[in-house]
Amino acid sequence: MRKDWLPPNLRPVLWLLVWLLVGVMLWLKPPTVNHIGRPAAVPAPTMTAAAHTWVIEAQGVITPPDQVPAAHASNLVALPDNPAFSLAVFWFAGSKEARPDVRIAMSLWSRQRQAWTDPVWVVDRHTATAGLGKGLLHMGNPVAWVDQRQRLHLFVVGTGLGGWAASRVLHLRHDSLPTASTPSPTFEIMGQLPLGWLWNLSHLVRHSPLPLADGGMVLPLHFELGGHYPVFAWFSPDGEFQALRRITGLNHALQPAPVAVDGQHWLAYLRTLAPRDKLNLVGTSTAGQDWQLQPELGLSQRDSAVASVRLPSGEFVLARNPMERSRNQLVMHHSPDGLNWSPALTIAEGDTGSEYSYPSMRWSEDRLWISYTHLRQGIGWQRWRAVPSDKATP
Amino acid sequence: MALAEPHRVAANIGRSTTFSCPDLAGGLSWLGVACLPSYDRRWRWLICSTAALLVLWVWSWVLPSLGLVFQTPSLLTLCACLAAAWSDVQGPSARLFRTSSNTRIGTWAWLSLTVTGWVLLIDAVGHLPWDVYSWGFDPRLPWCAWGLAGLWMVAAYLTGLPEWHAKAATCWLVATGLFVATHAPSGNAWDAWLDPGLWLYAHYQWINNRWFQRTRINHS
Repeated sequence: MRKDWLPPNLRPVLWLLVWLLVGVMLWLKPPTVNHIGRPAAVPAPTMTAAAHTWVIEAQGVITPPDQVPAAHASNLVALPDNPAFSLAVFWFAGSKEARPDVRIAMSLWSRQRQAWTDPVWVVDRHTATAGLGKGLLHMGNPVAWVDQRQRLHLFVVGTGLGGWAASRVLHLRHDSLPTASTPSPTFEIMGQLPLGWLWNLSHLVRHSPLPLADGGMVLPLHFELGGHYPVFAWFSPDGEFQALRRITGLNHALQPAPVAVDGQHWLAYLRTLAPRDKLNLVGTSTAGQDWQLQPELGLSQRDSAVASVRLPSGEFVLARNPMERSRNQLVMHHSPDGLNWSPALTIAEGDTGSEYSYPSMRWSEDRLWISYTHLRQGIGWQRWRAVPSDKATP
Repeated sequence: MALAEPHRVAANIGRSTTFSCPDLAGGLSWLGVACLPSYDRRWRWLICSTAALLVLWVWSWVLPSLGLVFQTPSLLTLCACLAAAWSDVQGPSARLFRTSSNTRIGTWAWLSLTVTGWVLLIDAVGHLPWDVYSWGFDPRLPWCAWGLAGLWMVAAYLTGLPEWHAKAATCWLVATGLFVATHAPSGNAWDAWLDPGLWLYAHYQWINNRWFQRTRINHS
């Protein structure tokens, strides 16, 4: 018979010590902070809200690196403090969506040349696998954000076995912004976002984050295994994951596109699936703590991504594919309050079977920038300018 | 606030090491020890661990191709495995987990894990009115666990409950302590206490215990 390492009568003392130790550790933890509920950043007005008309100023198509045939799901990010580049656009490209050769590409808008730089690959599944320590089969849907320390964060959907429905969201970071001498960032894999208990399964990212007043952000995500519902993740000004809020009472709604009406009052437009045929809307008046489904908007939409942005004038802009035209027409609307929208303004359209979809919008250099999937072959881009109505050319 | 930086570092490590060789080596060793007979358990652990590491080394190029399949086990799984290994090295039984009825984890403990897992699963697919998983990021949850684990241990001591109660409560408490210190594996307390692997194993143990009890009753 082996002798016990601790006499039985001393065991309660050991248990008590362990219990007290854990209690002390809990006590020493930083004070409890409710990360959810922090106010959103509302743009400071820099232009008048007088009657104006939107006119297109420039447009084009960015082709993927190496002339690969497929490109999709672009995301624009503004680089206001970068002297060389004012915008970056990320998208995924390869032989076809959800193929192992799909990589994340990037191009930058050069302030000096007033043109997009030659696109470069910034992430592929092999480098991500090496950084993550486990395998990725496919990648897609990049979403970029710049933190308070001017570090570039990239959130990417990564899949393993099971395809898109079994995907996770990967977090990557580059420790500075692209410069003229080093325009191609090298991203470090930070890990997967902890979004669900079931092996983190079936979470995807698509739309740009909602900036918070303290420099942090709320990243819109969604869950799509069995049902579809929106998810919001809070990040600190340094890009540290902090908290999660899921709107589980909603089904057939995904890819939330959030905007802030004011610090506490936010709206999020939702891509909907059949049988729904109108753009759905959820709202919060408590800075994300509680969300309620709002009355449907009068804008038709089914199973195509939407994008929204709040401009410095206070105006809201929304881009969508009207359901009647499937994805062969991409339009945008303007609104003073995020609820009542102007007639559609066409961004791009084509014949039946063509595709202009997955819009992304940013405000930069006093212009509205839009990027979108162009025929699944490249990334279309446009630059729009607001001109007073009396000066607009017909 | 002095703990803030170590917390962040540990949380990042926890998030990035979603699957690691030590996890799998531990699992393979455990399986080896459980299945292989040997006269000396210490040698059995050493042999099986070495074999597991060799298997991992040879197959390391295969594992990534499985693609995001493996996740970090929970801290409770880790503590339970360590406790089982320690018990195996110390105890008189011939096989791991072939313990006496006094130290066998009770049916209702496995049932608790099973039910908790089902709640988290139903919550994950969005069919619960509450956001249960998000509670795991609330700092008040580890305080609740600390209080409950304390009550459990006091009850086990004062009422003379079987030995497994104290062991299980200690495992849970240590897992909570590790979570508080490191925020591993994800910063969410539920992930620290229960992973889908442990949840599936709890099903097996619950059914096994029920069968064990029924068989014992029938033969008595």
